[in-house]
Amino acid sequence: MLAIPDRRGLRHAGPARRRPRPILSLAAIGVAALALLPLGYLLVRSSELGLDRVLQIAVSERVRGLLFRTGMLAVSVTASSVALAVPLAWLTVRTDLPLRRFWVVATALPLAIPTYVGGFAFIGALGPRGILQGWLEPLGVQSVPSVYGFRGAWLVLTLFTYPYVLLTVRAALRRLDPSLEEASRMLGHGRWSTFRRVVLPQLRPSITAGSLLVALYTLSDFGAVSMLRFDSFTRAIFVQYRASLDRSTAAVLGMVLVGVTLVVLSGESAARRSVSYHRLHGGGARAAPTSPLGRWRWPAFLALAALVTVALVVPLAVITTWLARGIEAGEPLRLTTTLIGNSLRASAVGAIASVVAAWPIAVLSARHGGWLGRLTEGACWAGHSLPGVVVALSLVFFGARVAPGIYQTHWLLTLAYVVLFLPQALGAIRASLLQISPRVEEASRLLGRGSMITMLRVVAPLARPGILAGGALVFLTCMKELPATLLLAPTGYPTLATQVWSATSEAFFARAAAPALALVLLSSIPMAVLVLREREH
Amino acid sequence: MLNSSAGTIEVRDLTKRFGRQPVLRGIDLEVAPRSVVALLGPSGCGKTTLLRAIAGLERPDTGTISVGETTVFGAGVDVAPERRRIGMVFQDWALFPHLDVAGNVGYGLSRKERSGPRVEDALDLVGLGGLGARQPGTLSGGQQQRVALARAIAPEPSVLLLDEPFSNLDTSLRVQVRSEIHQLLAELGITTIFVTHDQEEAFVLGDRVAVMAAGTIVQQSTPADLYARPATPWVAQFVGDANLVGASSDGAQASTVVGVVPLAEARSGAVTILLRPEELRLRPGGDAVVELVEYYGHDTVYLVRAPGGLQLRVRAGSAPEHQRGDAVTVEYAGPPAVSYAVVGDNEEPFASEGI
Repeated sequence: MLAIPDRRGLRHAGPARRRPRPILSLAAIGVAALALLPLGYLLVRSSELGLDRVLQIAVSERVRGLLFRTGMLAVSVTASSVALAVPLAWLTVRTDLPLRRFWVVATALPLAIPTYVGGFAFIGALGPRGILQGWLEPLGVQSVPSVYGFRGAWLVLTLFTYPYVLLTVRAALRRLDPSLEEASRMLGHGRWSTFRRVVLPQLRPSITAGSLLVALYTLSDFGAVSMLRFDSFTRAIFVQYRASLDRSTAAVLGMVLVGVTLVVLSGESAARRSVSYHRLHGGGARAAPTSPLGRWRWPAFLALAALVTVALVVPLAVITTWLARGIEAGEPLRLTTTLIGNSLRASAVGAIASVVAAWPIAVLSARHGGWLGRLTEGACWAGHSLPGVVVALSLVFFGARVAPGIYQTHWLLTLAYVVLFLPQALGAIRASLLQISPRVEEASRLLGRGSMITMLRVVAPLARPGILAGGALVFLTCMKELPATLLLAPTGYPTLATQVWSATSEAFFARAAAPALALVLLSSIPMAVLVLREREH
Repeated sequence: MLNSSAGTIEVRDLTKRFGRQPVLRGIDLEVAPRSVVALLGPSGCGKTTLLRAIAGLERPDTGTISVGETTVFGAGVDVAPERRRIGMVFQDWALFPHLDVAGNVGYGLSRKERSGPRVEDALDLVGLGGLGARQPGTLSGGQQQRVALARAIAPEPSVLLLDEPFSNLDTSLRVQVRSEIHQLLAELGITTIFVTHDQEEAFVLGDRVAVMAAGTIVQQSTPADLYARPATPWVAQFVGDANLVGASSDGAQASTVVGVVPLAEARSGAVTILLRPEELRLRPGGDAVVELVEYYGHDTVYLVRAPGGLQLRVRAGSAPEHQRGDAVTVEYAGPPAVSYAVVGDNEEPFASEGI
């Protein structure tokens, strides 16, 4: 059957837009409903308390305190990340720093360390019963300044999320038109004045984008803040859920956190929509000028070395030290293989489920466009932006009340993974689909193959790179995921992530070391891909 | 009206190499105050590098550059670009996207000067009065170029540098904008150097033209002199349509395929003679054949195959008088011609260049 372009298709340029088959639309709507389930059920559960009680909790002193502390953390981590990342970006892209190419990679690497592994490393180094304590005890020092609380949370979150700002600012720096800086100098402004008045304003969109990313991560982070015992929203929700019979309060706390997240998200989309300073037109392909650092060369070098030591060398050294101690003390490594097996299994299922779930929406969005595609895609992104602990909490409520059959089973955990990480698969598959010409599908249909078979035998194989990339990305993200796994995995099913968390919480540092190392190594893979792609540009 | 100050530019024996590649090989250039000099040459000849060296954006290896009475480069001196008081308009105009038009034009002025009439005066001068509050991205190409110019002249520099100022404009706009800029430069009277690969631009705007190739200035002179007396065959065909005809000369004249041609300079032996198309005439009947007719509206160019195989370009009056296939005779009707001695196989290294 020939495809008849509808009138909408004729008006637009580009491939004709067919109406999608009903089964595709249904599948997409089903997935979108799943993605919105956590948010929806959270609303339901917290409304059970009645509006009065909800409002009472929402404005209570406890919640005000949480808001203040969480807000303070987000603001200070963002500020310190920007303060760190902007000079680093400049130094590694525009100066004659010694070993510049090495620093380009090394300053971005802390991203490979999940924040809770970073938390483990610093507690294992500086906490009571940590390494430092062990060194100082013979010298008669009884206690070291506490690594717990705001200080520790701020330090760990800054060190392991500043690369988000660094990478966005660096990409923008590389795209800058050097003629603008030259023009500024011809008009009488020296290097510093040019940086302030021409370069920095052009970097503003990317600094804003990176900052909002860091702020969102800080709001959603569970592992680091809970290990470092900083009373922020995510930790409060978790504690409230575990500790009390009144779990509806946890639901309300979750709603408040979602509200805060939405505020930050709307800031992010507003920032993205604001004026973006493209080059006004293509200029000559001149390389950006390199600023000589002069007598600041070696001080800068040393400063970078100090940062990389603290953010990379120290955590890795702490992890390996504890690993060595563990092996000496005869810790069973067999446990680690079980953990790896569990992590692999759960993540693989999560990845496959995400790819399958993403497929109808990707096809709808890439091939058919229209409001349904945009709506379902938007629903997926809504689920993705929720903090992991909130999604997990909502699914626990759902499982316990509505579907006890799947409560505490792998199904619920897989559902959580899909809700949280679906957009990663969606983005990759959609990009792949957009590169396939619709003519190929039409040719297959004209040769007598129906729609479903065309999809299976023509489209899916051609979209394989996107499917694999999306699946791999979700797989790795699931391996690192903590809060949902903690709350939803069946009892007696520890993963690498949950093991690091629980062992650190009980100060069994040696037991946390091997899983932590495994997690860092696994995270390095997407990092390597990111860094390689950065070099290409 | 803005005050215009003038300055001399003097470049002596400037050299520069990028890695192993020499880009400037001993450039000597002098620009008289209040004059406009065009640096003309094919891409890769070093003209932009020379301009940027004068601006201070490239650091030469040896030589000296002086602006006015100040040595800005040479003998241990290298004045930073922000202190050379040179105005520059970049090829891509480089307007600051985060500032409006007034912000751009006032960028090189002090805070006190910005609050005065200088910005508005500069905008009026380029014909953009009242557009100060607009964003550069909302302006047309021609308007953006004028903002770039206003920005460069607002601080009243002694020297103005233009890097391929019209290459970013649509061809249809170019001639009109060029005339406007020409008018403006004449009014301003600032010493100006501009870089171009377009011979027409160089001739129309420049008081003097320096033709560059492979890092050296091959000839610098007035446009008329350059056109009538090019120093080498390559320059001859770079600055205009040229028929380069081989012949044998006996001193004051040479016999060529278009007959006997008087020479401007006495030469004997094998020579190459420059015959400009507008100096050739066609008479009906003869051994030559019209191969192609190019009608331009204001004149016609005939491609004529002379006996012996040489193809000549002949430019004649308005309407075509001959057709493809006509038999014609070509005659030379111009002044004594420029000739070049043929020295063995010593081809100029850039003789095959051309844009």
